[in-house]
Amino acid sequence: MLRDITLGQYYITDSKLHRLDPRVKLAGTMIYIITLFLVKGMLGYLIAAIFFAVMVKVSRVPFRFMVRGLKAIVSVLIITGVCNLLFFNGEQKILEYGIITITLEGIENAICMTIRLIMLILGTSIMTLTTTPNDLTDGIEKSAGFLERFRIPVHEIALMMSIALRFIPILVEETNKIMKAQISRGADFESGGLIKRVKNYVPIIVPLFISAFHRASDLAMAMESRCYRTGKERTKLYPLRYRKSDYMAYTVIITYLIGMAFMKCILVYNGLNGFWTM
Amino acid sequence: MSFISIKNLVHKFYVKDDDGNIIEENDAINGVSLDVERGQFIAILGQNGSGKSTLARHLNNLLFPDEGSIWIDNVAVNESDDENVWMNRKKIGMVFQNPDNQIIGTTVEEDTAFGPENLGIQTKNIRRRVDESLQTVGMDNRKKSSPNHLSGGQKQRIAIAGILAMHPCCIVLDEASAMLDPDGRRELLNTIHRLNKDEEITIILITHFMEEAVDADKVFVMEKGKIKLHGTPQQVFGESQSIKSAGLELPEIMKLSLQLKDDGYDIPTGMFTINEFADEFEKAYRNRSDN
Repeated sequence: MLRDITLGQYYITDSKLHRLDPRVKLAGTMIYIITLFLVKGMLGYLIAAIFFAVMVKVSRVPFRFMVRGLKAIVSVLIITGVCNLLFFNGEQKILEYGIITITLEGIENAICMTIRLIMLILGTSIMTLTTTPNDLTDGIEKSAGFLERFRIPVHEIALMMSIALRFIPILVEETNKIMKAQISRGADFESGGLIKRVKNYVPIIVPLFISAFHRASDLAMAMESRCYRTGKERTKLYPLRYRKSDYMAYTVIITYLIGMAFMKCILVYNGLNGFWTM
Repeated sequence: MSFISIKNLVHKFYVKDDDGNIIEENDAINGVSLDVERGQFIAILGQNGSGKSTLARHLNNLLFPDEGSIWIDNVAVNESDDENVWMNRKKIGMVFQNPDNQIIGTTVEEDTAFGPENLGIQTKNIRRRVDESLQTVGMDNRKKSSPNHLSGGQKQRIAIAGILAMHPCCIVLDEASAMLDPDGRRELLNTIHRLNKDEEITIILITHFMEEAVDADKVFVMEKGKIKLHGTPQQVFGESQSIKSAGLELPEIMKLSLQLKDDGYDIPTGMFTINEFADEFEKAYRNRSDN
């Protein structure tokens, strides 16, 4: 069972979005995030939501899968919403009670922040749902390649990430094994206060670390014996290559960015920006 | 000159105290000389700590001699020459003991491609090599699988495929079957025997299972960093006392036939296969009941 753990939340299906080059999806997500911070009004969010809805349709991932990701951040959403509502310094006071002042601007701000956060999480989840962790690492490696010039070992970091991904299920299984071994010797992980419980985990963490170091040393040797050398040019079984559909996707997202920015400029120029527009 | 030629190899491990002073010196290998010809199937036997794994690591240039020399394909191993080390690792692949700790890729085909990728081979040639090697080890139907879903024997076959894709002349298996179940062990042995016969790849099998050594062309027995016995399996296993004193056990069939001989049956003791044994035992049993 444990070996079936999928990291991230990749949703297995075949769609135009799944087949896109990971670099395009990374850039698209970036642009989507930028536009979310560019606008601060209902019209803007509506346009972003339409763009998002189209992407969901194209990705063929059921919408409820994306909503699942929101559950984890419900508390964050409530806290940001309430804080914005209570502590935003606005002009038009609606309610005053002790130190709490609720203003119209505060309400507007709270609504905007909440919508922004929800759309941020939903939007970025499209990328993780349609891209395998490995493709993602490949994409990051390729798009961050320029950092090599600043002596940042991008390739090595990417390789480390993909190896870490491979070993997570193995280490999870090992944790369970050690846990059972310690339980069989009378270890207790259930009772006691918070500090005691944390302390109880030491007999798991120490052997786990030791075995992880052993594995790392074995793996390093296996890699060397298969002619791995740092700093040498490597080729790839699946090199990232842009296809026609990738260029089309780039066109779509850049058009979207320019459109949003253009509208914002016009509205600001005419003094029409505000809560109901952008 | 032989394909691999080792002369008076010495390898020392040092135990150091906190200041880096050497407080203890262990000779893991103490004066080993051996020759391996191209296409041979060699078995190296020995107890834990006999130095056989250290010897294997020398063949793959993961360790370098303190004294003595190693020649691979008529070139001396030279620690300071990266290209030389690299060429040797390309010629001699190595399968390690723990199946999980030598798989780098997240899918079977990506792992098989790791070696060729390091060698800088073009994408379309990598594809061909990966397909060929996975076919050779009979894993081509699991190309896209995650290694986490495979059995131990299958993982070791993937490890072999990863080496085959680099087109080596020799594969060293360092106790590669130690963590496998009997089925996995059989899978692995069948694969390497086939590679040895069909692809003429030199095999150096390091093990402490006697049964795995009986089909080898040549057997070396190591004890305390030295080679104690060497020769054909018949010659080596004939020295049953020396085998026992090296802390090893004879193959089951040999043990049985030795015991039967002690019990007064007239039976030869140099047999390794069950069929051979059954025939001889039948004869011996008839002879005895006739008398």
